[in-house]
Parts: sequence; structure tokens; C-alpha cells
Amino acid sequence: MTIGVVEVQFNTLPQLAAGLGAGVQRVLNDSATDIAEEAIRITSTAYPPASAPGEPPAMRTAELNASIHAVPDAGPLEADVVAGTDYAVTLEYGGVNLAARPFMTPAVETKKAAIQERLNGLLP
Amino acid sequence: MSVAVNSLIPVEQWLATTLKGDATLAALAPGGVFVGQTPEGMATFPAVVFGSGSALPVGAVGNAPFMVNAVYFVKVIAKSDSYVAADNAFNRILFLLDQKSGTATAGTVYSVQQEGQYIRYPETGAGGIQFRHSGGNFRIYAH
Repeated sequence: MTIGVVEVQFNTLPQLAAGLGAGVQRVLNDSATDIAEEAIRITSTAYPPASAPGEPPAMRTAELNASIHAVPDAGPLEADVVAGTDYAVTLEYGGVNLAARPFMTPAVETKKAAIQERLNGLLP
Repeated sequence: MSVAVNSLIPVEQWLATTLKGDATLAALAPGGVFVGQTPEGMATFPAVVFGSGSALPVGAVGNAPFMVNAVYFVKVIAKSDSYVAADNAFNRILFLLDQKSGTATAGTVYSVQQEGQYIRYPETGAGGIQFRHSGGNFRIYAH
């Protein structure tokens, strides 16, 4: 019995690895923009009526949704989505006597499948 | 896409039973365990609060969902200008919830996994009273 030797003719792995980092960063940047747009969309329902607990906050002054933005290239393989008001975190997770009105978590979850697809698309 | 509210009942039952049933957590957070928010005028802290951040149905296209994929925040609120008490109680919550599963009368919790960053923020209440929130997000699959 003869066991053949597998000879690597075309090793594209180094090339793939080199291109992957830039591709992932591009996906992260695009995804951060998508998440920010979704967060703005779901915080754009006009007040009144007030939002119910567990729902994204209704828009009273537009201060919150005007503060939501993407920060591309925030670090190595990092892109951020920022809600820039000091009360954003209290809306997202609630206060002592205030039920949460999450808007960032639903935005991320809504876009998650698309982000995964984009990442999959980087692989040959 | 949204899920029926009753899809979340097993999740909330399991979280409440697990958190309320632990004597160590009860000592660290004697204020109790609440869904959504603490009651108005509550005096005893730290207290535990949990709630849904997102819930999506899981199922094949065209078929009824067979599972819910939810993200819940679970946090401790301490009446303090320090995070120590809230952090200590949340460490116990991590021990009780992370990588766990279980059953509730309304269904089954298949998996619970802490994900993302820790949640920590201050709050100034009426009269300048200081509160500290410490917690995290948990991905929960349940039916």
C-alpha cells in the first residue's frame, strides 16, 4: 500500500490572515453604524404617550436620540456605539424607582444576525 | 420580531426562584428581589432588580417558535456612594446564574450565560441620596 504525500501547492493562509483584520474592522464599523441607526429609530416615537416599562423610551426632547452615534475605529478590532447623555444608562437599565426602557440592547440584538452574516462573508 | 409575553414567564419564574432562594444573596441584598424596579419608598438596600432587555423568538421560518432567546439584565442597587456592597451581591448572583440551567413551573430554562461588560453606574436620588447600580447582562434560552 502506498500512502501519498500531500504537497501544499498554494498556501493562501498568510494572505487570508493579513486581509481578515481589515475586513473585520470594516464589518465592525458598518455594524456600529447600523446599530446606532436602529437605536435612533426605536427611540424616535413621539411623546405622548409615555413609553411603557420595558419599551424603548419615547422621544420628548430628541436629546437622547440626537446623542446616539457610531464611533468607527475606536480601537483595534473595535467600533463603539455611544448614547451620549448622562441619563442614557438609567433609561437602558432603570433607576431606583424607574423601570428600564432598553433601547441599545434591542438594537444590538436586532442587528446581530446581519453582523454574523457579514463576518461569514469575509471567509472565502 | 417579538415574542409573546408569556414566553418569558419561565425565565422570570426561574430567575426569581433562584435569586430569592439563596440565603447568601439574601444576606448580601436584604432588600429583596424585584422585577423591573424597586417599590416606591423602599427603605432596605441593597436590593436585586432584573428585567428583559431583549427577547427574540427562535424557530424555523414559517413554524411556531420553539424557544425564546432573551437578554436579561440583573443588577444590585445599593444605597451608598460606594460600589462595594453592590459588587459583592452581584458576585453572588454571577455564581447563582452564570452557566446554569433549570426548570420552572411554566417551562424550562435551557442555558444562562453572562455576556458583555459589567453594568456599573451611579444614581442621585431625591434629596441627593446616592445609589450605586452593579450588574450584568445574561443571555437566556428558554421554552
